[in-house]
Amino acid sequence: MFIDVEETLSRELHEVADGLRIPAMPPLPQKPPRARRPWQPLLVAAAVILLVAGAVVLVVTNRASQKVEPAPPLPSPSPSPSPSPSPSPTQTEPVARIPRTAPTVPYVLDQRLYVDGEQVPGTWWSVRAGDAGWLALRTDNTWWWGRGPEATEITGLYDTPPVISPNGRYIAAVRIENGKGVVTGFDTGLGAARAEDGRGDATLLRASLPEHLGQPTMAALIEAIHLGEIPTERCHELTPVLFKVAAAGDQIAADIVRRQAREIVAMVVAAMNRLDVVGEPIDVLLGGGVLTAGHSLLMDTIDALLGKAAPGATTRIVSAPPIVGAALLGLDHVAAPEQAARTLRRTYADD
Amino acid sequence: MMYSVTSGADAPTFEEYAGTAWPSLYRYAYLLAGNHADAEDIAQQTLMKAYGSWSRVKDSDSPTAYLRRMLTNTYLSQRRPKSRRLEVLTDAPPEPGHTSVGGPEERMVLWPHVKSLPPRQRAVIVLRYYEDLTEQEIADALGCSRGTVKSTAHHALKALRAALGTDGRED
Repeated sequence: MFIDVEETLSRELHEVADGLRIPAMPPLPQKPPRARRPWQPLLVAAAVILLVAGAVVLVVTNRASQKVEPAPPLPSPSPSPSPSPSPSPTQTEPVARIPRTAPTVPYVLDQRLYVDGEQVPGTWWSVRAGDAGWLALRTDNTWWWGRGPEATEITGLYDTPPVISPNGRYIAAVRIENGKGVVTGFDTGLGAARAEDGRGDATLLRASLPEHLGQPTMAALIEAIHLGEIPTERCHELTPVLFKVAAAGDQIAADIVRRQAREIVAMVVAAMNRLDVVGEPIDVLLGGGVLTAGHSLLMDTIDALLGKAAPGATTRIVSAPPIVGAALLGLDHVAAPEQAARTLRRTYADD
Repeated sequence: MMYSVTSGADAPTFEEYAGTAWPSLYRYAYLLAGNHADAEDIAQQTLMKAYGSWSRVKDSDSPTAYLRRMLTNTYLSQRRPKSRRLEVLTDAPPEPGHTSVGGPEERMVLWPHVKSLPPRQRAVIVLRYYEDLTEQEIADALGCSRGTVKSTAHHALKALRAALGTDGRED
């Protein structure tokens, strides 16, 4: 058999080339490349997802945190310096005058603790206080907290002294890890707990939260979570309970949900500010279990607040796991056919 | 073959040029890559590169040769191993080595072997027997010397003859 290799090559290559079905030319940039910033929505999405993850933890940890109050009562919208949150008659006088009245904040004098002018039983080393509560160390080295003259002991072991938030609403257990403080738990006057002990308005949470985790009372639930008898993962189950109670018209629960919405919007706006896209028409992708559940109170509040803060923003709920976005980018990069993207979405939609 | 474009005052816009050049770019890319997905990939990447440096391309002596060099480099610089290179995302089953739809490729004796040549040899073969380029033009496209082109072509032809199991014609 004799074949002229060169002639055959030439013929066959031409045959192959001529027999090709030439696909349509892929779209090419029509204009000078705009400064497209495709990572922006992704960044916003990532930030929001992070936020929501953190927010879920917060909601859960404070699952029944006390009723949201519009923080320090400001006098009408006048620009004059607002009075201190705990005004006392002496404070309006010139600073040079030393007030003679008893302090209005908790204080320890000669190992005696005074709160609201009353002496708290026991002997004390020190006290720290915020507007809403105080945290004190007794001379037997136990920590106590309270909102009035009533003291409640903080149980559990603390390697590091607990701390009180500046507004006095939260007591956090702290652990030092590699030189950084890590909050390991909260002990706080909770909305449901306030309802139970009579400090706050009635809320259905008071019954539904303990019931969901098989505890008789709010106090028992707090204790069980605090002592680790209820694992953290199970606390996540309380979030849907909260939404259900809120949807049923419970004011305290609804307040918590609205507060959550405010936090989410604050985070979104912060992210948009960093990207300098406030006012631009932009998609805000919200993801994570809580947001994708589509609770109307939460979503409506978010839309309303975001509409005010960033009129150009449109919220979109992303239920696909973040990996899908990454894979889609990859597919775009290799100019994969549309079908591949559909297959990808379908695969993850099943999960 | 490759289109030719007159240069000068009426230099085409990139869009016009790309529209004209696309079929021939695609054919060349297919002969190099051996499958549609990679061919489209390479041809598109080449156009994107050309778009990025269009002012240089259009002022060059021959935009055609410029793009051919770009495409060749794009193809050669794909360092993915062959096995991986065939793992492309398509909406259809991957094309088999011999197309089974009864096309002319089935009767071909050399094309299947061309597809298994190493990239540089394959590029030389396609440029020489499809684009009908001179050795100097091939050397320009590949960015190597004429001697290298000669020896590469020699090795390629030897491999093809060996694959055919014939002695072929002695050089």
